[in-house]
Amino acid sequence: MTGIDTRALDRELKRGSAELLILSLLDARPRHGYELSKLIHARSGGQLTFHIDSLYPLLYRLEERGWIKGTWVEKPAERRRRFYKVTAEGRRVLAAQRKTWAAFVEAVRRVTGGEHA
Amino acid sequence: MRDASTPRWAREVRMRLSSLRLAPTREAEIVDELSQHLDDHYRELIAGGASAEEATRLTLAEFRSGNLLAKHLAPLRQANAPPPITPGAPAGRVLPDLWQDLRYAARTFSKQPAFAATAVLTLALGIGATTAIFSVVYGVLLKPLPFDEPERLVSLQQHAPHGAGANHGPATYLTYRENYQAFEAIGAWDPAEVSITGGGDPERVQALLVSAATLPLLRVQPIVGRVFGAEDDTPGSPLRVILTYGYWQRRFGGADNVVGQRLVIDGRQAEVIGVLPSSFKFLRTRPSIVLPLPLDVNAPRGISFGFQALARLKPGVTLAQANDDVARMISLLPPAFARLELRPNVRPLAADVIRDIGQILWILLAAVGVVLLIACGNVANLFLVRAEGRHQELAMRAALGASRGRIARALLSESVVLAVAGGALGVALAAAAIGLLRTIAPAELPRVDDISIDVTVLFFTLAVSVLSGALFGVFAVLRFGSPSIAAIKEGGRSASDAPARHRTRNALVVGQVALALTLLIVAGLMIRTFIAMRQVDPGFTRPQEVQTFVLAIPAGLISDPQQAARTHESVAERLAGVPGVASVGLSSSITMDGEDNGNYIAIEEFPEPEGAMPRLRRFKSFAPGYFETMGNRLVAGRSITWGEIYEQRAVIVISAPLAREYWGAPARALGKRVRTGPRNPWREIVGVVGDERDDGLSQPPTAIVYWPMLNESYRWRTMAYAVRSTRVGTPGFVRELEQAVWSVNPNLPLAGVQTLEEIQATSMAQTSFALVMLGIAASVALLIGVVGIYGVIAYAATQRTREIGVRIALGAQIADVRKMFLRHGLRLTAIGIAIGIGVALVITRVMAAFLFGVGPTDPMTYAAVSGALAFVALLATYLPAHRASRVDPVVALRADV
Repeated sequence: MTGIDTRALDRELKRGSAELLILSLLDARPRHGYELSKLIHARSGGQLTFHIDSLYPLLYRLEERGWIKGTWVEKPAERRRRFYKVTAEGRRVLAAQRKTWAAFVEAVRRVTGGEHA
Repeated sequence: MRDASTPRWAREVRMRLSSLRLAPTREAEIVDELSQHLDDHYRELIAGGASAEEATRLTLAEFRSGNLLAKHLAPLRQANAPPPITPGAPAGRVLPDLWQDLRYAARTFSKQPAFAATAVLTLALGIGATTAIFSVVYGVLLKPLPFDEPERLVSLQQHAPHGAGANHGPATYLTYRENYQAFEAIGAWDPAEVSITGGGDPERVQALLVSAATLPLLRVQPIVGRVFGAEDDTPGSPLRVILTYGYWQRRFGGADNVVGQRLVIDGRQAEVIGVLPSSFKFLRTRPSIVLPLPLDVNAPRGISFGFQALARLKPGVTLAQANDDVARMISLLPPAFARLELRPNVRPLAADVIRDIGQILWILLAAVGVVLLIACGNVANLFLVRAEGRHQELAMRAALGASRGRIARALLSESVVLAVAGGALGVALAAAAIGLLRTIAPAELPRVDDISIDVTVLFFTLAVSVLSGALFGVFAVLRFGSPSIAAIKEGGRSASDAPARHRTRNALVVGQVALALTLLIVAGLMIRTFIAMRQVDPGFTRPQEVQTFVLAIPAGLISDPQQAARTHESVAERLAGVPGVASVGLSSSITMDGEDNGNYIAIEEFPEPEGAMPRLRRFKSFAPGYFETMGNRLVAGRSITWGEIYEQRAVIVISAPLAREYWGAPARALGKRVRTGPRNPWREIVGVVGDERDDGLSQPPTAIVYWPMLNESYRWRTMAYAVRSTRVGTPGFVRELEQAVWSVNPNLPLAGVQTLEEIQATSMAQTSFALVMLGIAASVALLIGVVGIYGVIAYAATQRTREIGVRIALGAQIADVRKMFLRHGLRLTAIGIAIGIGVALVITRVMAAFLFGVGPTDPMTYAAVSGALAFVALLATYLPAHRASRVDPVVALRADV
């Protein structure tokens, strides 16, 4: 089920592209942890999987940095869930990371696909 | 809601978090959130057709091996929360627990800012005052002298029962120098004033005369050049001078090539040989220059005393051994010394600096200590009230297993945290107070520059703060240290007002009143002293209209004494010609200026028995116009004329106390004859001048012998001038006087320019200083004490609101309620006053030496101060009593349901 080596993904987590994924997903609307893991799995076509022991530490780290904020939401007859949304600071970071990512992708594309340009 | 079939994920999650230091609430949140996630996953698997067993296995596979969850969480802040604080938890290790208690206390206070601020401010007042006075006591009395191994430096003196011989002359000094065994070295010194002329205005500067051994034994190193050697202090050697750092800067601009330059000192050429470091400070002297003190080893060694001696003890030698050594050397003195009955008086050199200022400083320190005690009393009361409100919490802690000691420590930590905060603020207050103190400190308070808040003072403040905290905390510990479990049920507040609850607080208030009263009585006695001193006839009138200064005519400038005297007369004439000057007079010293020249007189009519020592009398030389200018009157006979001075006529004027001593009435002294020694001619008493308080207003009038300015034994060249004018104190007046002096001789420097009023203020400075300081201490004590009374009555009133409501509802009169509280307050005040009077009767005895015109048990002061305190206390009681009596019974009863 895992398309990318999870060890490699862990390294990515440290580097920050995982942060970009989370922030992007939360930018649309607040979501809880399980929803995030499902979305990442589904949208990556099963290529990316966040385990519980990677996802939540990452969320808590982003929260400690003040980029996202979690709130408990209680619904009748359900266990309370923690929803996360992007803070203003998080939005600034997201914009910057998107720019960097786009530049990186563009650079990689130019190098690897330069012959066709 | 979870359905029953869902596995319990929480345990799995919690297990994986156990290695982290998460705060309990945070851990619960994470467990919740992750359990929810696992739950969602599990349900999805079940919905997808997995068996319960398989779903559980797959769900748990979310946790990979190696506990990655803990590993990923570990770097986060939330995974490293400080250990939880559990108030009243059983003691483990002492230090971390103490730290925990202190932090808990600090946190508690941040939630009760009003309480904390009141307590801290009160303590800051007390601790600040104590710190300020301690810094003075330390700087002046306790700090070692600024010399190498100062504990080995001693002042060499003698006990002289007949007045002469406490200090040194060539005989004692040289005998000691030739025979000592207990000392490493001995040296002589003497303060002096010299004129420096040539280059700019002539100036009169302070000089320190030292023998060649003195600076080396103090281990003072010059920063430029050298100090004196044996070749410099032998009589007849060329005059050489060492500059102090300040004078080097002022006169030579700190020039490097100063060695070898010349100064004209008292008309003699002097070569500069060195400069002392800026750190050089010698006892009470403030010299500009240091000169040799030449002593002729071969001169006859008669009975004469005129300088001081000091020594450095050999290592390991005690004061007692040094005194034994001196006792041995006294027996080596010429036989004529035997009748002086000298005994050794070797004492630490530091004692020469302190002299009699020590006692007043210790009294002041005791006074501010009392203020601190009163402040502690107030805070203890605040603390008790607060602890009462927490009775339930403390009982809960005890019920949960906190030991008595643990609760005591928690309470004490709180009080110590408050006290240390008060101490910190107190240091700031003390720093400000010291600035103020420096400006009002009397001139004779030595080493004022050494007063500062240094490490020692800070350490003292810390110790005092912690002790204060322990002191006022202990009341709460005694009262609430072992709370009963029943208190938990009480619901934290008392149903009724049991008398025992107030006993501690009442006792504290009584103590505060007693202490405040004691201080007020002390201050009251000082005020009476001050008033009594102001009413004494000092021997002069309207001192604000008398300008004084000192004029020296060095032998190097005018060698002939007659000529010097005529110069003084010319100066006096010129001064009299300055517009607005009413009269001018000259004397070797002005009343109360501190000059003390003593000698003996023999009286023709009352010859001394053989071998007896006549009493020492103060000698002054004077010239016409002096008594008139000062405003003293001749009570019999006449003054002298300039003609009598020049002709050296054998006439003399004495002061009234001396005349009364021998002849009963001043007039009977006229025509009687006195002389200074068997070889000197008899002199006739031609006048008796009124009483003069030359030793200060608090001392009896001094017996003075006034010699005409030129006389066989004393060729006075330095004279103090008194100039009476209503222009004294106006701008330019002193400059006009200077011009008048310089119109006679431009090389005469004016020194010690001050008004007679300033001289008088200086002589009263110690009393004024004590008065101001004790007055401030007493006022603060009164203020804090009254606030204490107010606080206790007001608190009692609020505690008894319901009871008052019941009483009023049952028909008690408002006046009765008010009376009840007034009685309470007045009873406390009365007991406090009674105790305070008792304490004051005992402790004011140590003040007797500072009192004048009033006894230490003066009933009027005691009555007036007690009355004033009672009145203020009544006011402080009335306000809350009045408020209590206006309680609306309906509101009071409803509030307590």
